[in-house]
Amino acid sequence: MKKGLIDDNSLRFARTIYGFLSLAAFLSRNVWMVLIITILMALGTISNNYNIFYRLHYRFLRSFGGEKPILVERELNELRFACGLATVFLITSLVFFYSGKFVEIGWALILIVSLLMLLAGIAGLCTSSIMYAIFKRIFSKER
Amino acid sequence: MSQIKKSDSDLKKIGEPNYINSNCWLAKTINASPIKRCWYCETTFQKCPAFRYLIITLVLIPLSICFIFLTEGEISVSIILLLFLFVVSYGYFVNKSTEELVVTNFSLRKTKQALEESRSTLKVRVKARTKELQEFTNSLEQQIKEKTKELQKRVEELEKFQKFAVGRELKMVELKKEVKKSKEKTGKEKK
Repeated sequence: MKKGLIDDNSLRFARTIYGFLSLAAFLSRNVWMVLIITILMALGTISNNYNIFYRLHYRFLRSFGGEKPILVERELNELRFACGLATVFLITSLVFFYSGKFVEIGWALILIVSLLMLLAGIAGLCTSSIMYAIFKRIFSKER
Repeated sequence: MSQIKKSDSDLKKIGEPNYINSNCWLAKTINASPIKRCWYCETTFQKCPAFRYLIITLVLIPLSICFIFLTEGEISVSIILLLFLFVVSYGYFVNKSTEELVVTNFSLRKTKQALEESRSTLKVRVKARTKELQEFTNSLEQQIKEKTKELQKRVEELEKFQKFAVGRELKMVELKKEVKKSKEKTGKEKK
């Protein structure tokens, strides 16, 4: 598995921002905002280098605050999975909004994304990491 | 590549950056420390306070939302915001206290280890010093024994000499008396 050094603070910052943006989209019931978050998250799924908020914190905000990076060795697939899962949730909600069916379920999915992102960002408890580990265990056993 | 990485991680000791806790199911599976504090942790995943909080939260939130929905008939935005605020702020403090707990536990264990090491070193040193002292005492005892023996020999020699000297003195006195007597005898005969 490919590993990379990730700045813990920048990652948490990005997740917090995504969480707040999702919450703001839910509260304002703004579908366009959901679409923008989905695109940003999809970019983050492709590579962490395209994770705009991560890059923003790592390149600029951290140096403004004089913060030293906390580099943690992580599996890149795990980060992709976390971002990808949120993207899937958001795309599903967008499909619901577009079709006009299960709109409330769509908003509930956005709320779930927001909660999990805020938990991962502020509290540092990443549910998708646990899910990734569970899937990894299942698939490695099957193999 | 991953094999090399894994062996590299295995070599890392607790407290070192990117140490992987072998007791933690999550860290072992993802082959990395989920959070920085996991570098200092040795407990199992089931005993992790943050994990317990996460499970309780993920169970309680849907339950409370369902309960509110069933009793009120709708879920207002303010209730959702309040729930979010509670869960996230409480999670933040749980995370912070867990971090403090893990780091304190680690430093305590490290201090205990250092204390144990210094105790064992001290034990070895005390043992070596005791042995040294014992050897010194033994050599001193041996020296005392030898000196006593020597002195005893000297005393015996002196006693012998004294006996000889005293015998000679008595004989001299006797001889002097005899000389005197014989002188007196010879003097009387001349007259």
